[in-house]
Formats: sequence, C-alpha cells, structure tokens
Amino acid sequence: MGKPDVETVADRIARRLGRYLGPHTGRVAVKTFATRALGRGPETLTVHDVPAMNEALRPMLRTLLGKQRCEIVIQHILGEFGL
Amino acid sequence: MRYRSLAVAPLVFVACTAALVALVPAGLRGTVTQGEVDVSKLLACAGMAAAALAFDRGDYLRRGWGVWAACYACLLARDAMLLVHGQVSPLVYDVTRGTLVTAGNACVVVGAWTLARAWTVAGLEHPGSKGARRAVVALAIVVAVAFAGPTLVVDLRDIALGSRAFDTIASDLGDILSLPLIAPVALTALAVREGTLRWTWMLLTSSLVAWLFYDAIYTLPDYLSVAPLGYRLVSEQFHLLAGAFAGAAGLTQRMAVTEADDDGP
Repeated sequence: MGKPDVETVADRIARRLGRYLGPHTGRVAVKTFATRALGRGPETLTVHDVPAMNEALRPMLRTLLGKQRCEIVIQHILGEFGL
Repeated sequence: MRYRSLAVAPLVFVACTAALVALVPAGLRGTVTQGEVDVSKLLACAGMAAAALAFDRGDYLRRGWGVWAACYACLLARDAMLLVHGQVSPLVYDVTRGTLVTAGNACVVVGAWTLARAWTVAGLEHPGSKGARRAVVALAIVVAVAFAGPTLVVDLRDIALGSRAFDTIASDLGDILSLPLIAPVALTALAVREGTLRWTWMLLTSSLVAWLFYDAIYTLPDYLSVAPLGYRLVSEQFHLLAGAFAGAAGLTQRMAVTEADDDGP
C-alpha cells in the first residue's frame, strides 16, 4: 500500500520552500523550524500553525532570499492555505 | 535554461580567451592575457554588484556580495595603475598599489566569510554528520595552506632580502584566509542542490576552486623543482575562470531573488 496522495500542511510549506532550497532541504527546513518554534514535529502541523511557521521561517528566508522575496514566499504560503 | 546557460558561459569565455592567446603572436601574449584577466575581473565585479543590488539595504547577503564586488573593483583599480606607471613617483605608485591590493584582499576575505556563513546565519545545518563536515573544512584548510602557504614564505623571504612588494603578502594572506571557505560554500551548494539557489552556490564554489587551482599551478613548480616557464598562461586560465564564475554566480543570485515567481497561489 502506497502513501496517501493528500499533502500535509508541512508538505505544502516544504513545497513552497523547495523551489529555492530543493525538496529535501525544504522538508528539513520545515522540520527544523517546526521543532524550534512550535516544539512539535512537522507531522503535527495544522493550518492554524501556518502563521507561526511563517514567522519562524522569516529570518531564514530573509537571509537567503532578501526581504522582498521573503515576503513574496510568505504571501504564497499564506495563499496556499487561503489565509 | 537561462541558469544553465549562465553556468556554461564561463567555460565558453575561457575557451575563447585561450584560443585568442594561442592565435596572437608570442610577443603580445602577456598583454592580451592581462587584458583578458581585467575583462574577467570586470565581469566578476558587475555580476556580484548586480547580486548585491538585488537585495534591500540591511539584507545579509547584500553585504556579502557587495564587499566581494568591492574586492574586484580594488583589483581592477590596481591593474589600472599600470597605465600611469612611470608618470607618478615610485613611492605614490607603490603605496597606491599596495593599498588597493590590501583593501581588495581584505574585501575578499570578508565577502567570502559573509557568504560562507549565510547558511548558518539562516539557522540551518549543512548536510552530513558533524564529523564529516569538520573533515571537509579541515581538508579545505590543509589544501589552501599547502598551495598558498609556500608563496607566502617565498614573499616573506624576498621582503627580508629588501623587496618592497608588501602587497604580495596581503595577496597571499587573502588566499590563505579565503580559500578554506570553499568548504562551507560547497556544503551550502550541496544543501540546495535541487533548488534554484543551487546555481549560485555551485558557481561560487567553482569560482573558489578555480582560485585554488590558480594558486596550485603557481606553487607546483616549487614542489616539482621545475621552472615556472609557461605556467603563467595555464594559471591565468584559472584566474579568468574564477572571475567569470564569480560574475555568473552573482547574476544567478540576482535572478533567483528578483525573477517573477510563477508558482504563486
């Protein structure tokens, strides 16, 4: 039996980061910042955690992509969840 | 596709410059090579400045790219001093040249250090175990010292014997301090190997590796006890490659930061 096709919240955030960092590192980043900021694993993330995850990801995105691109990625993540 | 074209462009550039040097009369080769080196420095300066300007004031990488671009600007200005050689007093010439070389090498160390630390500043860990990462850094330090160290010893000896070429010491120290930074830059390239940022970090790694080969080719005659005749033309190809790769790295960074994101919500 294969994995279900439905993307988790963590997968969807990782996919957005993956454009720049690659899929694997995108998932690693989500895991790192979910653990660091929320104290939980990425598999526990819900839509309610997305704003907090964005805040946790912001310094990383700003360092690697700059302020403007960081805000675009954040907006895309929020848009992904209709927030 | 445009990223791939930019990644290949430095190799095409160096193939063309090598062909040009091969075609011109032997007596002109030194002058043509110097001109080509300056074109590559100009490309590096422009590409890195373009990357810096893609970021906002206060952005971490703006500083790194900007300072590295300033390095190439200083080295270009140092080469431009050749145009006034003999028209200004030897003291003014030497002091200005020495200042530009020292400033340029200080900038390359600061710029390379800033970019090499970007992944850590972003709060991420490089791939691989701690032991493996330390081994990579240690290897880079050993290789950098092995290839840039002997030149420093020779230049220090020359100064002890009365040479006034103090700028060579700044250049040697710049190499020794910046080349080990290949390790963290390469580890960052490895971390983003599947994303659009990979082009920037791979090209930056390639630039530093080309610098390493440039130093290595200069040093090999010391190890092999052979005359350095003919080495300059070969080593300068790596010099050209380092500049061209640096310029391409800057341009891909600018593209990654400023290009429209077509996978919006």
